[in-house]
Amino acid sequence: MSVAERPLAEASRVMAALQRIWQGARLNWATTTGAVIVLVAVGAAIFAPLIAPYDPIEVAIENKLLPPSAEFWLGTDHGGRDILSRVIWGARASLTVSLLAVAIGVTGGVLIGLFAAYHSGSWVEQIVMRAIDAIASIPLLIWAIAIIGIVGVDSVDIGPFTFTNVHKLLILIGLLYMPTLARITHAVAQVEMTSDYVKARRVQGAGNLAIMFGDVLPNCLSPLIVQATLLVAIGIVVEASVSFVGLGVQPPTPSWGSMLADARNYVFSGEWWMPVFPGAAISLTVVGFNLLGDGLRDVLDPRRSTGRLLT
Amino acid sequence: MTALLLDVRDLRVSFPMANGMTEAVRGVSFSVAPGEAIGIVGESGSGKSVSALAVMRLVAQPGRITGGEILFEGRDLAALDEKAMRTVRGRHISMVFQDPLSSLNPAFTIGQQLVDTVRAHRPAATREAARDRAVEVLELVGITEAGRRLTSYPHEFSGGMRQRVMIALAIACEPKLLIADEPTTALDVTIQAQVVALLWQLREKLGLSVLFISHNLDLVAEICDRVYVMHTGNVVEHGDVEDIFLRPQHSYTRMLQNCIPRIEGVQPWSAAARSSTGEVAP
Amino acid sequence: MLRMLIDRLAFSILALLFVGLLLFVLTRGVPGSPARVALGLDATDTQIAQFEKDYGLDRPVVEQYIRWLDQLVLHGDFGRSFVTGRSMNALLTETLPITLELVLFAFAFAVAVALPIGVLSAVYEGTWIDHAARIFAVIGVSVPGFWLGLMLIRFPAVEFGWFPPGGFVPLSDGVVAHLQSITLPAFALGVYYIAVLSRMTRSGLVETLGSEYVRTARALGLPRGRVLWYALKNALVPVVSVGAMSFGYMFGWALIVEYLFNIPGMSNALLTAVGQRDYFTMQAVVYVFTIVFIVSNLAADLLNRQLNPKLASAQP
Repeated sequence: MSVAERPLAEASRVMAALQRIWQGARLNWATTTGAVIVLVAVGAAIFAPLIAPYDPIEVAIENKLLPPSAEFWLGTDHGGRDILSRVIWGARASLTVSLLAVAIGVTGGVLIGLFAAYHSGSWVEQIVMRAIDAIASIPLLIWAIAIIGIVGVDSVDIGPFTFTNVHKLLILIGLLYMPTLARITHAVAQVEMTSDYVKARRVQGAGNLAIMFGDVLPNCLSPLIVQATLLVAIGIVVEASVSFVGLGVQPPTPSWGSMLADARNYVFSGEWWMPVFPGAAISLTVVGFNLLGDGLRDVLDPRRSTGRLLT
Repeated sequence: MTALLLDVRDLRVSFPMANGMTEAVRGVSFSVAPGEAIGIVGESGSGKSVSALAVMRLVAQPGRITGGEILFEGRDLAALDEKAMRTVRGRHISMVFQDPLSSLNPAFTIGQQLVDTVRAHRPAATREAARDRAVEVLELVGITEAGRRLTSYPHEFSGGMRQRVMIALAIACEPKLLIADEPTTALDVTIQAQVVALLWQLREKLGLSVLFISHNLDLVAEICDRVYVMHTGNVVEHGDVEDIFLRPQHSYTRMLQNCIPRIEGVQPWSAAARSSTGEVAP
Repeated sequence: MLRMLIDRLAFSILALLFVGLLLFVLTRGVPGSPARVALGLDATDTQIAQFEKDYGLDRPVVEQYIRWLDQLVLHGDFGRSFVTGRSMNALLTETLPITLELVLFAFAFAVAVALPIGVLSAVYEGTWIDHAARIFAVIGVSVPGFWLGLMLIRFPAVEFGWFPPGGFVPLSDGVVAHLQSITLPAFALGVYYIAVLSRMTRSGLVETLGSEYVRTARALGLPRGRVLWYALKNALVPVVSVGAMSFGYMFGWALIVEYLFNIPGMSNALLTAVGQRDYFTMQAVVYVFTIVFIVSNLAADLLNRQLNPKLASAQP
């Protein structure tokens, strides 16, 4: 291939890949819809300062409780703040909590799961997995509320760091995700450890750590990715619920959950736009992650080592 | 000439694939006369199992019968609706499948499954009558302490016993034709012989006609009168068992024959070797 | 089978002990004496000392734990709240039945709707019924229960006046009014689980309908209803497991629903306790939740063994 022909070859390869993706997207419109929704939500969270038309925190009583109009697309709340802007900024709170919580959960869960699988068959494994099961025997929401209730909603200073309630919440949810993710990792790793290729690697002289992280872990990734996506969806609802009862994101920071809490006071009067839009935002984002997770499952984990939520 | 029990003419079965319909069975014809034991032999993918399933109208969706006639006692089964077909299955024609472990429902006792089968075709039968028939038919297939075993679950039986239970289910309503789709393939060799002997016994005792599907020409030769050889969806050869063995016409039949390991000079079968008790002489 | 049961029971007890210890450590490990919380910032040292003596807080932690355990296990007594001074048993007796009733209603509702939808989706796989059910399921699993509740308050309750917008009417005040007051909360709580359970039923049934033993059932000429039951009995096993776990999780989400609809249930009591920094009550309530969760899992296990006896002889 001559120097001149190379860029052309590259371009046609890219075109072919894009075509495959497009065909895949057309076949599975549900997953694509999910992916699009997720991108929009993440985009809103990241670019909030740029795309939100108004300041989400500044109170302007003169504008309070206005219905949707050309000026305020989604209306205003009891503080005269533009609901559209607050919804866009709210994405930031929800997604930060859910995504970081999942990140923590995956990291911790994988390490624990691999550790337990490494000691497969010994009492160490038994104790670790039983402890995991015990922690998992309390519903997530109850744990979250109880612990936040115990430690309080104020910011905590540890050394140079300040942990706001949001941080506490996401760490807590992350910790509570670990059992599920540890279980998945452990289950897959246990099977992999007894497989022939691991034995072959041992014969090659590879150390245990290398095998764990180099060979076993990549095989656990598929169900983990699927579960992680679904846990993000759950995390969004958990954050909204905790904020709804006042134990999550503290005002005046906008969060979909606390917006719904505000709207609660106005449910008897006619301001329907106050509860409808934040709730729709939550629902839509969760739909997006669920669809994406399901689609990923069909592609990555058709053997169903993760629980099937939507067929 | 006695009327044929089963007369399959030019059967075609197709499955929709990514690029159109693929014919798994391409115009296959075979027949079974009353009291006959017929074998259909072929390798995997030859269409033999699909043909058998087609007779029962149990071809797995989305596959379909796309042509031909399936005449059973003069009636074309291919033209019947589901409701009518349900009166035929289990009652006039029965089928025994290859893997008795996965073919028996793990959540029900064999007694329950037997009783359900009996009452499906004799709705007027009482619980006790159905239960009695269940015991009767279990004893017929050689399961001892049948009364006690009614409350056992399939996984509590050994492989050979499970296959006997399958056969019991199949003959519970006194069918005229029994289709056996690789009934011994999933079993140990010693058990295979027992099951084949059992089928032979039942054939004689109940006047059953048998359609025996297998990839094993040897096995088929032991209990069948006539054989059809199938290859990629077509019948390539058919005839009396002796003819097929001694004078195979088609190259494929010869190939199948050559696959059978045999001790030099010993014929694996002979009419004399089939004793009246159904034992198969070595 | 007995051995398995004992094993599960033993594990459940261990789990309870472990969680109990964890909760104890958390609630006692909080800096700052509960006395201050209860008595206020200007309480004198004597008052605090007296308070701590009353509630046994001046003892070493280990001793406190043993006393707590002893009190709970041998006498079934959860102790007293240091904030309200009331017996927690009394609180639980008041509030637990309400939450229990709410969750039972929601659960029964969810199962009653989910199973038929799941079965229909499987039997009519690929048709519009199946697709409609799927869309409903996606929405049902994504819409937060409390938002649905909020919408239900807004529309059927406030706008149309069919149901009360909140508050709980005890049975003694009239059956109809009682039922009316829990319909919306139960519905809001149950919708998510309708979605989850119907999909699980569907996928399980689709799989079992394609199994070899169902093929045998058809080959024997069994009637359609019977064939369906042959498949369903097997398909329900994972549904029962998930159902039991869902029952436990429902107690968690009931918290939000009770808060929203002003229902004086146990979950709401937890929130109140949180607001009042009533750690002991929080501990007791969370512990009761755990017990319920573990018990429902055990029950599911038993039910599963009835459905599929193969599990009974399988290794744990």
